[in-house]
Formats: sequence, C-alpha cells, structure tokens
Amino acid sequence: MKRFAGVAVACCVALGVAACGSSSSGSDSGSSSTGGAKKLSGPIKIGVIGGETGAYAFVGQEQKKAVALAVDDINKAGGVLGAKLSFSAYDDGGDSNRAISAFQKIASDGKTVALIGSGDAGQATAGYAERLKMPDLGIVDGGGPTIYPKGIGTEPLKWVFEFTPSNYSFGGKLAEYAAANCKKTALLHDTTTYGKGAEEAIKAGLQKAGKSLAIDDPITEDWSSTTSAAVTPEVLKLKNAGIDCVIGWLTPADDARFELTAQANGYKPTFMGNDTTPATPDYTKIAKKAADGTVAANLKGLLHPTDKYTQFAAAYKARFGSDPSVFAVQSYDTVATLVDAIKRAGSTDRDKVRDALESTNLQGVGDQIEFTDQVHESVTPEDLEIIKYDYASNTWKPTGQ
Amino acid sequence: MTQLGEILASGLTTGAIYGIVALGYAIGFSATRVINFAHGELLMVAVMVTSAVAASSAPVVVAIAAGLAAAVAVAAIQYLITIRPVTGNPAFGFAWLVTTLGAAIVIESIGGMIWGSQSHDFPSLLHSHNIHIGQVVVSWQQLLGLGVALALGVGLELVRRRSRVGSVMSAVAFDPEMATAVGVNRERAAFGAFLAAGLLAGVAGILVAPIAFANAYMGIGYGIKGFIAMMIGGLGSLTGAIAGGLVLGLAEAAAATWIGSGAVDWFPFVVLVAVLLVLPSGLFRGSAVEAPT
Amino acid sequence: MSVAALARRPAARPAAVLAAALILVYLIAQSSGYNQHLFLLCASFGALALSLNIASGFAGLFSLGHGGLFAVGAYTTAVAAEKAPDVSIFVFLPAAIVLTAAVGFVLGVLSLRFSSLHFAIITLVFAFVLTVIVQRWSLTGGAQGLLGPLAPGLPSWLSWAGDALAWYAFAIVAVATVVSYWLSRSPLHAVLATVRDSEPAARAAGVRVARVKIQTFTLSAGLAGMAGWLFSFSGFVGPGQFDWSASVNVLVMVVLGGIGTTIGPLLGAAFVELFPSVVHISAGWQQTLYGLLFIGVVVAFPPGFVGAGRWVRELVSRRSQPEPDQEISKLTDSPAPAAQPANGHGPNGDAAIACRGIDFRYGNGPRVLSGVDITIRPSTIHGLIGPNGSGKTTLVNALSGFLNPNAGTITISGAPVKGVAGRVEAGMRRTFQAVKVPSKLTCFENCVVGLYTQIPLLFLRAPIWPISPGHRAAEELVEQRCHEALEWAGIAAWAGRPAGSCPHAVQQLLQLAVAYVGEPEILVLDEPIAGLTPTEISLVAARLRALRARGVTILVIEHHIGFVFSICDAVSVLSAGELIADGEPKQIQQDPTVRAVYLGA
Repeated sequence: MKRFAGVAVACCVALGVAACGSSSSGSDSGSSSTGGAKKLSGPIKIGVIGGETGAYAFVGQEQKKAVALAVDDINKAGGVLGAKLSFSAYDDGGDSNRAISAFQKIASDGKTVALIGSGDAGQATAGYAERLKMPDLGIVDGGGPTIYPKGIGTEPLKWVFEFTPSNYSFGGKLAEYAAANCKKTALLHDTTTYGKGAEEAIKAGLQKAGKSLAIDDPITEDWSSTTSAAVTPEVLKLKNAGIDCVIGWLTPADDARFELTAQANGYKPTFMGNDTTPATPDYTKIAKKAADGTVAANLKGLLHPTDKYTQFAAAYKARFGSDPSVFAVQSYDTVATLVDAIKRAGSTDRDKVRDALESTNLQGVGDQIEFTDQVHESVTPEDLEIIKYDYASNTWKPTGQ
Repeated sequence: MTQLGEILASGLTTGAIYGIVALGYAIGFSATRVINFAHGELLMVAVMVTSAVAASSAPVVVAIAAGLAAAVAVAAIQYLITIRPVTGNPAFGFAWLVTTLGAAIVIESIGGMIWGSQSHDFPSLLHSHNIHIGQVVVSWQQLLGLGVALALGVGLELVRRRSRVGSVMSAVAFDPEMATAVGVNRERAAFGAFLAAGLLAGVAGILVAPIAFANAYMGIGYGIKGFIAMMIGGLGSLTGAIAGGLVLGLAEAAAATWIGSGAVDWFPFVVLVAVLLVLPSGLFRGSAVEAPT
Repeated sequence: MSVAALARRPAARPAAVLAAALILVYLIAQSSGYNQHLFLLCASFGALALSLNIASGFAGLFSLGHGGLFAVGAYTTAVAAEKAPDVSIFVFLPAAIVLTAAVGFVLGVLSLRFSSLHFAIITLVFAFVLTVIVQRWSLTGGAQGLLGPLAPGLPSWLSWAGDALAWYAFAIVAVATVVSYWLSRSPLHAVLATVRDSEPAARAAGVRVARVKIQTFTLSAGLAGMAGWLFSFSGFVGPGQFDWSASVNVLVMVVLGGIGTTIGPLLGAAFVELFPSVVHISAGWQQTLYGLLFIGVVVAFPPGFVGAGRWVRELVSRRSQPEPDQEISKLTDSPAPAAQPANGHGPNGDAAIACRGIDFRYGNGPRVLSGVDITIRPSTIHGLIGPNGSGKTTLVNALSGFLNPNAGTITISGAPVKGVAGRVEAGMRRTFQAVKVPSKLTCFENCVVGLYTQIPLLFLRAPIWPISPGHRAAEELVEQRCHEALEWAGIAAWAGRPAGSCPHAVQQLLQLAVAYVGEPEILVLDEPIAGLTPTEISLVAARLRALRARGVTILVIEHHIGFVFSICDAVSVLSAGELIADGEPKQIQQDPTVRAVYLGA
C-alpha cells in the first residue's frame, strides 16, 4: 500500500497545481481615464446561460444567437468606450444546478460584468445574482415572481432585470382580454414560478375588472411526453362547467394536447396561450386545425415593426436563416441595454453598472426599455397587443386590441 | 352517471395500453427473471420510427411495420448486450438492474439526439373517428387498444396453457435449472421472450401514439406505468399484467376526476405501495416474493 | 497477525493519505469558486457513494433509493436554512442525519418481508414517490426547488486556511471514508459479507440477520443524509436532482469505482462528477456515454477501477500466494489444545434435542415429514440416515430452526426454543449440506462470523472500531479462537485464502471450523464428509469423538454408512418422511425394514 500512498500524494499535488492555475475572484477589469472621454480596457466579458436542450430549448438557442449578433454589431460600431465586447455561453439544459455551476464559473473569473439568462433556471440564477452581487439580465425565468418575490407591485430583486414579456405583463394582458370577452374563464398553469406568476397576474387583472377565475388548476407539465391520463378528465371538467375561455399557461406541446383532446370531445372554447405559444411553430404544428382562433399576445414593436426592427430582423435572418422570435429580439436588446449602462457608468464595476441599469431609458429594437429602482421589467401590458391564430393562412394576426 | 361512464371509458382505454406494456415486462421477466427497465424505450423506438417513416410519405402500413421491426431489432440488440451477459452472474446479482437502466438511458439519449425534444406528427390511424356511447365520447383507436389488450391477455394465457411454446415458457419460468435439464434451450427461450416483449412494446406504442404524441422522451412515462401495472397484477403473471393495467388506468381516471388532475402523478404510486404492502405477490399471484431461504 | 492483516486487503498508510488529502484540500480552498464547487460535488457524491457501498457492497442490500435519501438530507437542510436562517447550519447536520436515518430505518424494516429484488424495487418506488412529494409540496419549493444555504465562513483566526466550504466538504467525506474504512476492518465486515453471500450460514452463526440488515441500512441512510447536508451548499436543491436516475448514478459510481472497497466509491464519484467538466460534449452524447458506462462496467469489468488497479498490480509484481499443497492430514493430527471444559447439560437428564410428532409439507404438496419422534441424548453422536428424499435435511432444518414444522414440538435441552437465534443461544451450531461458505471471505474471516455472539454490540462498535473500547480484546479473542478452530479442522494453511478458491474438502472442513469456533454444545452436521478422502474422514471422526468426550452433542446426517456406524451412539432412519428405525447402530444394521429400504429387498 506504500505505492497507493505515493500515487495519492502525486495525484493530490498534480490536482492542486491545476487548481491553483485558475485565478481566484478579483476585481473589475482595469479602466483608465485619459483627460477627456473615459476609455475602458477590454475585453469586456458577458456570461450567457441558457437551456439549449429541454422543453424550452428554443429560448436558450434564440438567446445565444441574438447575443452573438448583438456583440458583433457593437464591436463593429467601435466597442464599448473603446473596449471590445465578448461573451461565453453555457448550456444549462434547463437544470438549475448546472446553471449555478456555470454561474459560479463565470463569476469567479473576476472579469465578467454581467450574466444574461437563464430562461429555464432563472430562479436559480436570480437568487445567485443576489448572492454573488452580479447583474443578471435578459430572459430570467419568466420574470414575475422571480423578479418581484413578494408579488406584483412590490420591491424587485436588486440585481435582476427582466426583458421578456413576463408572466406578470403577459398574464395581465390576457386578463384584460378575458375580462372584456369571456363569461367564464379557466386557467391551467404549471407549478413553477412561471405558471404561478401568471396565475397571480391573471387573477389580479380579472379582479380589477370585477371578475374572477371560474376554475384555476395547476397542471404538472408533462402531457406531451408521458401518458397524459389527466387530459381528458380535465377537458371534460371544463366542458361540463361551461367554461368558454381557457388560458393554457403550459408548454406549447401541452397546450396543443389540450386543444386536440378538446376537439375530440366536441368542446370548442376560446383558447389562450402564453408567450411561448406563438413564439415557435410547435403549438400550431401539433394542434393543427384545433389551434384556429387561439389568442395570444406579442410585443407591439414586433407586430408593427419600426425601421430599426426591420433592419435587425433582416440581419438576423441573413445570419441564422430564420426570423427572430420575441426571445431573440429581447436578448438583442438586453446586450444593448447593458452596453448603454456600462457607458453611462463609465466603468465595468458591477455595482456601478447595476446602479446605471436602474436609470435606463432606451429605445430598443423591440420596444422602449425603462428601468427604475422599482421597475425591473422592461415589458408592461401596454407594450403588448393581442394576436389570434388563423389556420387558413398559418399566421398569427394582430387584432389591434 | 356520465362521470362514471367517462371514468370507465378513459380509464379502461388508457389502462389497456399500460396492460400491454406490462405484458411485455411480464413475458421478459418470466423467461429470465429480469425486469427490463429499458422496455419503455422500445415503445418509443417503435413510435418514433413509425412517425419518421410516415413523414416520408410512405404508406401507413409500411410505417407501422417499420416501427415494429425497429422495436424488435432494438430489443434483440439490447438483450444480447445488456441482459444475456449478466444473467447468472454470481458476483453481482443485480447486474441487470444497472445494465437495463443503462440501456434505457442510451436509447433515450440517442433518440433525443436523432429526433430532438419536440413532439412529432403521428398518423392518426383510427383516432379521428369517434363513437358516442351515451354522453361519452371514445375514439375507435382507443377501443382498438382495449380490444387488443383483452385479446392478448386471453390469447397469451391460452397459448401458455395449451401450446408447446407455452409449456416451454412456463417451465423456464418456474424452474430454469430443471427446464435446462429436460432439454429446453433456455437461451433461445429467453431470446424469444425478449423479442416478443419488444414486439408488444411496439404494439402498445402504435396503439397509443395517435392519442398521445410521438416524442423521444415518452418512453420513461409508459415504462413506469407499465411497470407499476405489472407489479399490481403480480410480477411475471400474464393475465395479471393486463388486469393490473386496467386497474391502474381506472384508478388514475378516478383520481383525476375526483381528486384533481394533479393526482395522476402520485396516485399510481399509492396504489402500487398499497398493493405491495397488502398483497405482495400482486392481484394475480405472481412469482415468489418472499425471501428465499 | 490481526483480522485485517489476514483479510488479504492491504492496509493503507493513514498518515501519508491524510497528509496528501490535507494538502489537496488546502490548495482547493485557496483556488477559484468553481473548483471549490466541483470539489463540493465530488465530496457530496463521494460520501453518498460510500453510504450506498456500505448497504449494497458490504451487506448486499441493493438500493435504488439512495437518491431519495440524499434528497431527504439536502431538503432538510435547505428548508431549515430557509425557515430558520438565524440558526447555525451545523445544528441541522445531526437533524439531517437523524431524519434520513429514520427514513432508512423504515425502508430497512420493509426489506425483511421481501426478497432482495422486491427490496430494490421498493427503494426505487421510494425514490419516485419522494420526487413526486417534493415537487408538489410548497415547503420544499415545489417544482422549482429551493436555494441552498450559504456555507458559513471560517473564524478569522483560521482565515489563512482559505475558503470554508472546501474544508466542510473535506470533513464530511473524511467522516464517511473513515467510518467505511473502520467498518471494513472490523469483524462486522465478515458478518455483513456472510449475510450478503450466504444468509443461512450467517443465521447459523447466530447473526440476527433481520436486525443487522436494518441497522446497516439505517447507518447507510444516516451517512446519505450527511452527504445531502453537504450537497445543499452547492446552491440549489430541486426535485430534478434526486430522481431515480440520481439513484442509479450513485450505484454506477460505486460499481465503477469498485463495489465493496473503500476508495472505490470515492474514485467513482470523482470520475462521474468531473467527467462533464473535463470532457466537453453535448448533453445528448454525455448521457449516451453514461448509459454505455453503466452497461460497460457491469458487463465488462465488475471489479471497477480498484479491481483494475489490483489486477495491474498483480500483473506487474507477479505476486500471488503460494499454493499450499500439503494435504490436510499432514497437519496437526492431535486434538485441539486448550480444551474447553464441558459445559454440556449431561447431568441434567434432559435430551439435548427432542422432537415429537413432526409434520411438514411444502404448501399443499405431499408430506415431507410425518409424525417424526426423535430423542437425541446429550454428549452422544447421533446419526440420521435414510435414502435420498427421505426428508433428512428437512428434519434437520426443522430441528435447527430453519423451518417451522406444520405440527409437532421441538425442545432443546428440555425447553422449547424460538427460531435459529434462540437455538444458537442455547449452544447449537450447524453446517449445511450444499456447502454455503461465503466465497469471497478468507477461511479466517469465515471463522470470525462464528464468533458473532461473542462480540457484544458489534454493530455499534464497528464504525468506530479502532477507537472503540475493548476492540483489542475482541481482536485478540478472534485471532486466537479462529486460528485454533482452523487448526482443529486441519486447514490452518488456508487461513488467508478466499474460501471460494479453496478445494471442496477444505470448504467442508471450514464449515466445521466455523461451527466449532462458537464453542457449541450441540453440533448439527448435514453431510459433513461429502467429498473427503478416507484419511480426511477418519480425522473428522477423531475430532467428533473428541468433542463428544468434552460433552458436546452431535447430530450428523450422512450417507456414508461406515462412518455413521463407526462413530454414532445412536442412529435414526428416515424413509419417505417417516421414522422407520431408531436405536443403536448394531440394531439398525440388522433391522429388516432398514435393509428393505436400502437394498430394496
């Protein structure tokens, strides 16, 4: 066993040397001011974490693509106060532990200014952003309770800034529509903060109009890949209760499954989806005719594009071969916002950048981005417009509502 | 009353699928004393291959044949790699546990890489036509599933009791050493059983896919339900498998209707635990459960 | 020579290993948060793998639920940290351990009723159920999970040591390693191996198998809870981390590293945890590779890394134990020294074993035993003969407590005794017909099991063996008595060899040695001389006679009629489950019924 001890010592030393090789946490990258304009020495690093696999994989994929495009555009235009921008992307596969691992890696190099993401593991990255005191922006879970842990209208987390149409804003918009157009509304939602945030916002929105949800059911999200024994009973329950509007705050595939089962049982309510429903073809591809008339919402800026948007969309399509989804648009704007904040702060110090973020007022590609110390979400219900799916033309048409 | 009818309809039709999956487990187990934890993945293979072939505009029958053949082929390969080398391994009595689970992981992740995580189209077969039994709506596809399950349950039991193949399989199940001693080729019996199990998994998949989805990650769900169904019916019992499936389906439907759709997640386990504690050998007296001395 | 030395497992040099480990941890504690995070994961899973190894590797209790036990520890800590943030997180360490141990206790109790296959299934179901529970319970954060606690820092006077988390991780995995190591070097190791590989042999030595299994699983669960406590510092505790695949992962870590060893699970855990950081491939390929690894390690090389290491070492050094080619008979021929005084019940007048009206049948089958009455006088050698299938082994199983007769009474030394354990307590030991010695243990270790009843509170002392009170005395006792027993049986040359690689005759004699070492007052032998040469047989006969002279009562089943008639004071003859003759050998030899049964005349 002498040999074992010897091997053990050798291994330990080797590992130790390797471990020592990585730097421990340090401070921000140097900045120098030469008389007039502040100049930063780069590269300025951004971390990107998102799920490239899993139920919401397209979110992470879109995010990564848009960030790449944004970083290139900014560098082409001269960088950030003279310094080049760079990013490292990590796939968390929708797994919070992997996201935290990646986050730890990013935060410990001492040079990364901020984190973008994660869509699936947003609760974990948001919580860690508060711990590691590093800005976390972009698509962070679905916003909502992840940003405002105590509820709508309360104090947001200090370090987290949300860019997607969050479940609060989206839910609020759907509630407006339901209040105006529905007799009895039911909500099917998943049990994560994504779903619960929507529930909160929808209830609040309906209450404002003096209405309430007739049925509110949490659904564990696996109708598409498991045995879905619960779909038919659920459909029948809603049918028998005379529900005329169903909000399905689930994955596109699960929403599609509901619609198909409803169709099979001769039940035709107005179906409303969440922000992921129109964002990819999954829902419409699976539900086919049953999807006709589905209600959702999208950013007004995407439905009535500005020149800035058209330019961006063209560049995106040229590079990646497909039209940008709302997640791509928001991720692009996230980088722009971060850069804007760094410029205003004149430094890559995380505290200073965070402070600067809270006074953001910027016209993005998608919409106007405004943050204050009380508002950490860039999209409000007013930024959204209701759209409806038309099966005949396979498009989502804006309704002007 | 309609509610009861709805429970019966959805419970029996879903349960039928569980039963066919359970039947596959049972046949494999009775020949080798191995529970093939990759069984659910064989179902997935059949479904995905059928979906892919159908998408290339081949006739539906060809697609189905391709899917079933694929399931059987994968079952054969899986048997040769993960089960045959480890049965009778004295060093590690539960080697097959690890290897079949490993096989499940391999098949699922390869499936995920080939077909992605999203759901695919599947030919609707008989699912687009419904019949109305009173207030209850059932599709012909669902009824087909139920019919096949019952036919298999009765048919395979008859085969087991009346035919030579059946006797051989029973002998191997009851006392493998003795069976070998009287000239039964255990190897071939086991291999045949696993091919049959693969075929059954494929059949279950083809029956359920028009109703559910074609998704590379669907295997584990059906695998678990089928496993629970088999344990309820009795480990290794053929009629027990079908019966267990039907019981499970009904229990689920009842729970979903009377407790809430969320109950579908945990109620099957409650049933399973109840059965294991009260009737360890299952409803139909499966194989020996008590610790052998 | 200690138990450990003869255990053929080379001892590590603790000081060197400890020093190396401390250096490594120091370096990690100074390095980046990411490295510390990796180390934390390796340590948590290493401790978890060690805990599973104790249950599955040492005791053969195959658990697919250790992911769930891990979850109990992790969630307890995370929930406690959230609900009581002002209480030191160290307070929750014993809470996590105790709670998880309690869950393990319940699972262990369930294990008794079921075969090991069903036990594995139950643990798997447990993992499922736990996942479903934590996914729906708001206390555990539902599907979203909980953020884990922050590791408290080291006091300022220790700040030179670097980051605290690395040291906590080291402490936890060190505790698990030490417990596992000490356990493996205590007599309990042999006991667990026997329970695993040959449960009847364990029972026959007086091991309360059920109790030991529950204790083992509880200990394993407690360690898993401790690992979970550590894991909660990884930052996030969510249902997806603890599902059934997590349980399988841990099993693979154990098997990959080397099941049953101490360093193996650690190596396996480190490998599995570090693999994704070292090999950058897509998630899909990674999963595929894992799956193939699962299959590969079991199919191709079950001994795992440690086994591979040993194999290489043996290849390189070409060292192997010399084959003892002496015959048994050339060894000490004389009766064993230090004869124990007879503590038999001779003068009492009670029969050593008496049974009346024994009936037995399997289920609804034909009767294997009908109305058997036998009296075995103390300090005699009593033979039991009969054609094949006459029910001899069944009767002996009933007399030794391994079977419950459908009807009839059995008394040992005049009193009814319950079960096998009761009989062992009353001084009975037995051997088995189909040799059932745990093949991986050495002959010496096999004997250790025979002394189980002589080492009080073994289970409690084993995890802390080298520092437990009285361990030296126990080790000396074990050494002295086991050597003596092996000498008595004439197989001392094989003491250090694994029983499975010994010749059949040695294994037969080993059974005798194991029974002998327990200082039995009643010895029940089922075909003890099958496969022995005539010289060996006569040696055995001499041994048995010597035992009788010391007051031991011996019941022996044998087919070798010459042997039976030469040493037995009384003989009972069974045929088709019935007693057809009973008396002195000379009578039996001349009994016409007996002749008819044997010769068909």
